[in-house]
Amino acid sequence: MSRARDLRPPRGTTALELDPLAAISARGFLIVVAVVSLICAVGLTLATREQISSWPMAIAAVVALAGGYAWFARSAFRGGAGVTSDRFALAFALIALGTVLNSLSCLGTNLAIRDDWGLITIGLALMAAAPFRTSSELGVYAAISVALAALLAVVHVILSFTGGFPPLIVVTVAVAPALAFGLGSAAYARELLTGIYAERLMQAEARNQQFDRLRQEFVDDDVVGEMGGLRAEVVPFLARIRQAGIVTADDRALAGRLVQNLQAAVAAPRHVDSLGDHAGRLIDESGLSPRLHEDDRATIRALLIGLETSSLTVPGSIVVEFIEGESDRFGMVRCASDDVRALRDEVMPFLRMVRLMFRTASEQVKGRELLVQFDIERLA
Amino acid sequence: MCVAYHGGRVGGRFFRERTAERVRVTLQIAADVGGVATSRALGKAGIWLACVFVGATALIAALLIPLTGHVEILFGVGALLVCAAGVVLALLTPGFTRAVIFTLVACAGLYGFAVVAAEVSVAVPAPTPSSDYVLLSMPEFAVLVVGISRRSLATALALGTLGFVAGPGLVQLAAWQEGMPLAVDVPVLASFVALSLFVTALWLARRDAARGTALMSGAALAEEKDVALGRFSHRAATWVHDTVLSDLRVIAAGEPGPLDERQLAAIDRDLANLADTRLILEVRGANGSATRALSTVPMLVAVVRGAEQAGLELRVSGDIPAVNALSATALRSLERAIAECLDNVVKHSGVREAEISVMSSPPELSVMVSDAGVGFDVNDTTVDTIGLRMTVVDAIVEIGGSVQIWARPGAGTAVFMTVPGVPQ
Repeated sequence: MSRARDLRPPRGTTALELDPLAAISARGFLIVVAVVSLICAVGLTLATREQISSWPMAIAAVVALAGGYAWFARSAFRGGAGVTSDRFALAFALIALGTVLNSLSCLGTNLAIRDDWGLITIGLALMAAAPFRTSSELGVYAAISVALAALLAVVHVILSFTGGFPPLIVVTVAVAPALAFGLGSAAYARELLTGIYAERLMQAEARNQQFDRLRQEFVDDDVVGEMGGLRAEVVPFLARIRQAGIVTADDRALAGRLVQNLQAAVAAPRHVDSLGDHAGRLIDESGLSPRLHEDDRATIRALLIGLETSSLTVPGSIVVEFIEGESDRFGMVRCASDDVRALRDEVMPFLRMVRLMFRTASEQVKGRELLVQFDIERLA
Repeated sequence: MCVAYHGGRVGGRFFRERTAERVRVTLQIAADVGGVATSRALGKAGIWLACVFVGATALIAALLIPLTGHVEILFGVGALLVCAAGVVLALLTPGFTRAVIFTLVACAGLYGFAVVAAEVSVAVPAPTPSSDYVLLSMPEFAVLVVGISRRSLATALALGTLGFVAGPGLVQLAAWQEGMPLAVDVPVLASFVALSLFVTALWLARRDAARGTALMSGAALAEEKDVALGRFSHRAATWVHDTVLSDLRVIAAGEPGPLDERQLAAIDRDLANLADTRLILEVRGANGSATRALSTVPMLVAVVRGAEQAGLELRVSGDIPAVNALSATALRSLERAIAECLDNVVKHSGVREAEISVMSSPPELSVMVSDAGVGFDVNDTTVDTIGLRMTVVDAIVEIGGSVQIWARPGAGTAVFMTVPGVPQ
């Protein structure tokens, strides 16, 4: 693999823009981080309840944290643009508000800065954001988090802590989690983007090699020579009259017949469509399949292969149907199974991919059948 | 004839620039099929986490030297460096056995620091803290991350557990040896549980994604195969139609008699091409697509591929990777402008070929989209030409760039766009 330092991924690009499928793991990670953060917040609030001087603020802090993660998760799970810069800014603002409220809820009564959960959760939120946002953004958020943590620590040094450790030590303890998670998240985002970009180049090379190999196979199989008896009849005919340098009446008649054969071969439909290879039946009366956008076809193909290779699918039951109306086009994939719900769970990554690719896509279980429907908005 | 449009520079848009973003789903997607990129990224994150926690501990320890008068704390700081080196190496090494060894080295360093820290804590004339105090906790966090970069769940959890047992375990041992009150370090225990959950969740999600990505990559290759074969067949049929079929028609329609020079030359050409059909497929347009040249510039792939699927044959030349140096805003505006230019070629030029040239001269980057089509009068104010100018000029001028449009009826069109924001 070409290594990262030589690569120049596009500025301002997030890992998920290059690899939308990584959204599956990023969302899972986000949910776990959110749950852990909330457990940490509630747990530490209860464990250090004797330090709380304002319960309304303590409760509001947890609510703000939950609100921030809820907004973050909602953004991550929506279709389209996902966690945009603006959306993450709002989520971060709510989580940061939780941090401030948590800190202020024990103002004057705080015994140890390490008990303040807000200083940890603000960093965890940045870790969860790493696949969704750019490293430069995360670096800025890390700086904001560190500044906030330092400010809150100073406030507590002045108002809460009496004697004990020097302020610099308290501030260092306070900023360490935010700094560690912030820098970690920025490094994660940067390395992930570079790694995916490198993989992308490798795949481009693989496609180039496939293209060259296919062209060679096309030549080796003499597909051109097979057209309308080109190799078997036309070449000998042309070679003969070239050698003779003269055309007879019989040659004219033969040329006419060869023209007819070639004309038919040239006019024959040449589109290669292997999509139906993965289905028991392909219904496409309007000839929509060959006109679909390449990316959409690949998505449908992936779903079909996923269904085809599942042991839960009733063999031969996969039906693909494309319908084109006057103003709209849509597609359906149907598949029978004795355990449709298990089948749906098994092919869930491909169903998610279908939802990513097609703006309006849905799946439902109808009796023994799994039905996937999607609108087709673009054509090749 | 040429018209030019210029815009002022726009700066300071760190966050605003991404408000109009959208997901670009394309089969040029990479997909971290083997999870390699994710593992490396987690490794890098772990290194920063560990280094910050160890660094913060070292800083606090150093600050305590003048306060306590115990210079031996410096040995503890040295042990912390060993600890950090062990964690970093454990995260970077691909082999599990070596990762175990480096983890043990890290734990040994942590133990060395804990012995010094506990000894000093007991010795100073102040209430002795228990073994869960922050100076011992922070480097323990560093050791917990040793397993996060492993690609298998079992090894990740095994290494993390080793770090948890040997790291904080040895710290407790050191505290006990030095007579420090023992206490369960709840934050460290909770962090271990949380980290194990993170690793498990990420691994499970990645397993799902990996299956999907592997299949999607296969499906994309199959799709490209269909497209390539279709392109070859189309090219072959076109060639047969334009050459052999045409020549045979002339023969069939002509009078019997000697072949003239032109017919003989045509037959020679047909026979030569049929002797080696690679020549037929070597022509431009049958040799893959411009998106191949753009594999290093993912943000432009979608627009170029779209134009190709609309029937354009594109040639892309120049310093293409320089496009990646543009800011996200500039890149998206450029993408919008290029898309409009190519759309105009498809709809109005009357030709099926266009060229995109990229020229980089920091701090600016120029892109020219040109065709040899019917062109137009730049003073024309029909809907078509206004559409081109409105979209292209708006997109480029609003980010401080400039646009020059050269066009003349019958002589093609060239749109020259210059955008700022390329680092020197």
